[in-house]
Amino acid sequence: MDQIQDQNTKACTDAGSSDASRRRFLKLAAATGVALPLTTSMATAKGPVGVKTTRTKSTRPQLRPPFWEIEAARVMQSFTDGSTIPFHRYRALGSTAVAGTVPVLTGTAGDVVQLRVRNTLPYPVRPKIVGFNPGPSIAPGSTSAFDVVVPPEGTWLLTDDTLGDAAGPMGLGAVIVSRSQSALRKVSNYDREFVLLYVDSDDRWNAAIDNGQVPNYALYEPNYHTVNNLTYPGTASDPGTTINCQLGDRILLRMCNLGWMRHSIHFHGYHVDMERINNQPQSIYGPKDTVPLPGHTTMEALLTIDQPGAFPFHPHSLTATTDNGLYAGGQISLIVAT
Amino acid sequence: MAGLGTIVKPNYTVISRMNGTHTIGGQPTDVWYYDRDSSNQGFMDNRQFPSAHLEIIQGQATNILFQNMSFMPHTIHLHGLDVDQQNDGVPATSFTVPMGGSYTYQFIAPHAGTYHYHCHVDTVLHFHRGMAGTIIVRPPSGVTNLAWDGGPTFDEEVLWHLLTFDSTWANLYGSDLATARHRPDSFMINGLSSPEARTDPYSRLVATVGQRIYLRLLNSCYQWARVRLGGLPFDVVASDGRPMQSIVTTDTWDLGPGERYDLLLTPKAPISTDATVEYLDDYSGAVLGTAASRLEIT
Repeated sequence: MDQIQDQNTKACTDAGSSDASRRRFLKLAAATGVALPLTTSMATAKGPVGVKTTRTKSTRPQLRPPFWEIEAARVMQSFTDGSTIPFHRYRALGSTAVAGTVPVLTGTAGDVVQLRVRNTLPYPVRPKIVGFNPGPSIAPGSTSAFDVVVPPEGTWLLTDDTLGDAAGPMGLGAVIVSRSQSALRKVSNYDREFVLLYVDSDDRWNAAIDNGQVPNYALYEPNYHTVNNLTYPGTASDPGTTINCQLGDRILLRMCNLGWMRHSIHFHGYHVDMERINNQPQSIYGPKDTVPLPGHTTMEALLTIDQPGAFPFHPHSLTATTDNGLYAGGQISLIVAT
Repeated sequence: MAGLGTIVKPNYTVISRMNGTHTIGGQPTDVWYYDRDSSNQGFMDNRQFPSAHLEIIQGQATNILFQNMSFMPHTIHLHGLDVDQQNDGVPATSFTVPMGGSYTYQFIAPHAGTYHYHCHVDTVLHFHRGMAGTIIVRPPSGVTNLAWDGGPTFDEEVLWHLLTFDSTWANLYGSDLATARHRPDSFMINGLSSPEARTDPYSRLVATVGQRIYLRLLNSCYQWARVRLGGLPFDVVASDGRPMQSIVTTDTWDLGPGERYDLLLTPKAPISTDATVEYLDDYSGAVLGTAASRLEIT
């Protein structure tokens, strides 16, 4: 728990008694699949036509619901090959936690959380939890807030519906960590947890979209590969991306692939137990040192630290361990066990 | 047994060379490889691509003397064997073996199964140029017809080292912009494309009805691979040196780069057909190319 700043969990818990009837309804609706996890707009500065909107207040009420706060923004990132590439990313605002620079949105399954999104991009964004319908469109230059029902316990990808296939490569991603109400993990207990968001990008797509053009969707050959928006050796100095741990620890890895590359991630030094794929328990694989991680997939893996040392883990499609071909870079991360 | 199980021992000498030649895509191609010592003969000992195959025993102290007889630093990463940091072969966390140097990698393999080794220096290129091989860990008894203690026995055993090759990388000496994108134009099993792989004694699946064929797969590519054995159902019994939690019976199996799977095939009728590997595009899933060997059941 020390790597993911879990500041929203307490807020979720504190808000437990507010608006209970509404929450019960939403839980029921979510459980039966009637309502979207992203519910109707509650407070929107510039909402789309036909959606009831309320202007965002300039001052927050004293008793406010738990909230997640992010921004959709243009980010220029430099790589070890000397290139600087435009990305359009979700960034954490306020007290929203991060892994690397990826927002990590933590809540309790079934709770209602307000998602506040500031859109500084030149086109509308429409947040979407992978596997669910998208939320409302947020116009350029506006800030909107709307209710989200926290999905069932597990690890979920938040991305954008406006860009379609290009949302991942452009970096419009965040991770939702949903905890069970009992505070007991249903699959396994663990000592520490880490969120790892893998994104692959083709700089030709990024340049086209950044210039307001349509990329060549028929040709995608990613040449930049990030973990938590970082590349090696930057991953090694980020406390949210390097697995710092101790002998005997059980580490929950929340591995998410928002890219399109069908990855298999190899662990040096350890086999891991693949517990859940897309939040469904898996009972096929035994312990593995190389775990499949297709695009737009989440996987929860348990890493038991049974030897000390420093060991990398990385995709074995080895172009992904480069920055535009230059080794070592890309999606190499480290486990450092003392 | 297609040459497998001929040599099983705890100590090897492995020599890196950067002056090999192998026919890839019909063209003589310069390859870099780990050469075998004179005592390690039997499996694919007539080819330099892929690198030498090793067989060791679970629970025994193993020593691999690596002699770098090439003009670049190299290492051996023992992929999947969960060795300690010193013997992991990663330059950033351990060391490289300089040209003319040597090092003895020491470890004890904890589980019988199918493993991999490769160079971890400028990995994206050294790996592709041929510095990658297979390791089979035999059960503690050393027997060669048992997958692991308590695991299945078999009558025939075949290993497929799955490979693709991008000929535009063939003459590179370091990673650079040219290694950003891997566009394979050769698709192989054990270093051979389809016409040759169909007659390759190390790749063909040959047995009689009712015999059990144990097929060990290593995906040593930068793409996923889809394996079919002539439409016959098979059991996926192990992966990455560990038993599957549940045996999967299927006629198609995908494996990702770096993964290993062990399949058990028990043909119930005579058949003569292709057994194929389709190599898939990461993004679209389209088939980039196919390699095939033969399944001959009499």
